[in-house]
Amino acid sequence: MKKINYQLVLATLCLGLTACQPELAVPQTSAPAQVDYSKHPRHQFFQSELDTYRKVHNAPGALMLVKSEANGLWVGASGKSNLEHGTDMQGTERIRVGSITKPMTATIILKLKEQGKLKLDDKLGDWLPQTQGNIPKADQITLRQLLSHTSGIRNLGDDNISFKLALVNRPADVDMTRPDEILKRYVYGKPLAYDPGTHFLYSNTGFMLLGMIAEKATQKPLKALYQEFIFTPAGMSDSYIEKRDDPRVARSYLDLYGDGKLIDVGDWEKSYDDGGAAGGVITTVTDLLKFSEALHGGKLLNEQSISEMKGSVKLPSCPNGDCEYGLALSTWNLEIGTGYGHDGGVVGIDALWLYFPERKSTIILFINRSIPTDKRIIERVL
Amino acid sequence: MKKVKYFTWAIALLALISAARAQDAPLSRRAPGLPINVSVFSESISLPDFKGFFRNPNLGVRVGTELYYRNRPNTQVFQTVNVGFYQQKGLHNAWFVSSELGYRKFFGNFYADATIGGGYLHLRSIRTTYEPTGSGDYVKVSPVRNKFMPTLGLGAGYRFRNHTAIFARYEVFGIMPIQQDVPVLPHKALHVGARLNINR
Repeated sequence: MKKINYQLVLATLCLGLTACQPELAVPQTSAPAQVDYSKHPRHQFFQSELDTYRKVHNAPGALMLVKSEANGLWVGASGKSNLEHGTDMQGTERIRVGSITKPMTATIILKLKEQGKLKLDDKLGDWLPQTQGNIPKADQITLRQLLSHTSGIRNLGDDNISFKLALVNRPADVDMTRPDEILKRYVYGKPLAYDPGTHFLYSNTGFMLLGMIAEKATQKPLKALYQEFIFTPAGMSDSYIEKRDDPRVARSYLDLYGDGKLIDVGDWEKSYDDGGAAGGVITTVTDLLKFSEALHGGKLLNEQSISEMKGSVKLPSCPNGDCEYGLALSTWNLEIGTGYGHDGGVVGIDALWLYFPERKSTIILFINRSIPTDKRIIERVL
Repeated sequence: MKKVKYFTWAIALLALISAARAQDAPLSRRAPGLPINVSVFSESISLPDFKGFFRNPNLGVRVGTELYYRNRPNTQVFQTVNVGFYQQKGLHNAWFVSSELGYRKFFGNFYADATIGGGYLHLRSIRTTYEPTGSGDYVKVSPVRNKFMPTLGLGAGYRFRNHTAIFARYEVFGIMPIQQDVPVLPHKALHVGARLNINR
């Protein structure tokens, strides 16, 4: 008996000493050389602003794209795209853009509306019968409400603790490209946050459902729809929406333990978000500019659809349409004018895209760390 | 990973053999020796529930002893002292030292117990850790973090004639502090193990 006891203790100690997981390897990030923008009339000012923006937010790396009618295009980079290998940001890296995916998914839905394949006032339950009885009022929730975050369906994200913990525990368990599993585990059976159409509540779930509806309406996978309706017509040759082992993607960083120290979470983002309709696009800042110009230039949608995207949702809290969110387009009312676009964040990035039609100016900002950012830089550089 | 599985199975097997042998032993009239609790457990970062313990589990092991404030035939009030290790796949290796105050109630040879306690958690991230230098650069720093580990446990077991026991235990524990707006990162763990007595 005593012998067995000693064996047990010995085996236990051995386990503790030998079972450690080795440190994870991080692949090198490689991106093509950037065009030289040092002759741009505002190069030094822009570069200084970008460097400050990165340092203020303690981000390893940052990118900024500014295009204005007066001065043309400028793309700049600051810091590192990959801390493990000390790789400089170039400006040509592929980046995750998180929820900037949503206006693209909305573009597909609106294109399908233009083609007569669906209507914005169609009901969720009619398109996805499996939601009937699992999502309250699925027979009343419209596609328009999903697009404008007014369906009342709870978010898969900040306000779903189980989902957030599962993301830290095992990111592959919350793979957004397997929406049926996610819905069963985290959405079905949960009450709505409010009656559909009465309040605004940002909801990744809504866009996951819209992706499923687009696939059902066309019998095509989401990545084929993105290619057909977004990437090809906009000329976005460096963009995709799927999970790939792509060394050109800038690494992402997170302060998980709240002590100011960062860990690389690029693989988490890949497992969880890449390929999903709510936040799974991987692109470059110049490709994102192409999307912006194609959308606002009428290449992707007709004038009526663009107008619907821009027009603010009308709710009891903003009956005059000043809610600053339309159909997956945010409205930013700044002193320099009104901008339309979207922000994006995943576990380890923060991004923003805005287009100011009056000034014909576009700004895209990106840092490879998840942290709330101070956007006053927009008014300084535009 | 295979190593972990082999050791886990080895410990589970040894625990069961010990328990089975104990079943045949005569009831001792002497006070039991030093109790040694050995358990293997499956752990997840999660709110308390009973899902997912057996699917691609994060495994750990805990060894400890217990001291008795009250030791009566039908009830015990005890203090545990434990050391252990677990790995959170893809995130960190964790070693801990903990102590819990517990109450145990016997129903014949069966028992149920509840514990509350805390401990020191030594985390070693398997992801390289970077710290800002203040000038906008980052440098690699030690991946080790020291955290507090509050614990709550509910267990049930079966005591053999010589005070050896086998048990299952459901535990929730936390890592804290974690983030400014997240006071604790909750975990759940399901243990199976055996209580042996040294010097019997």
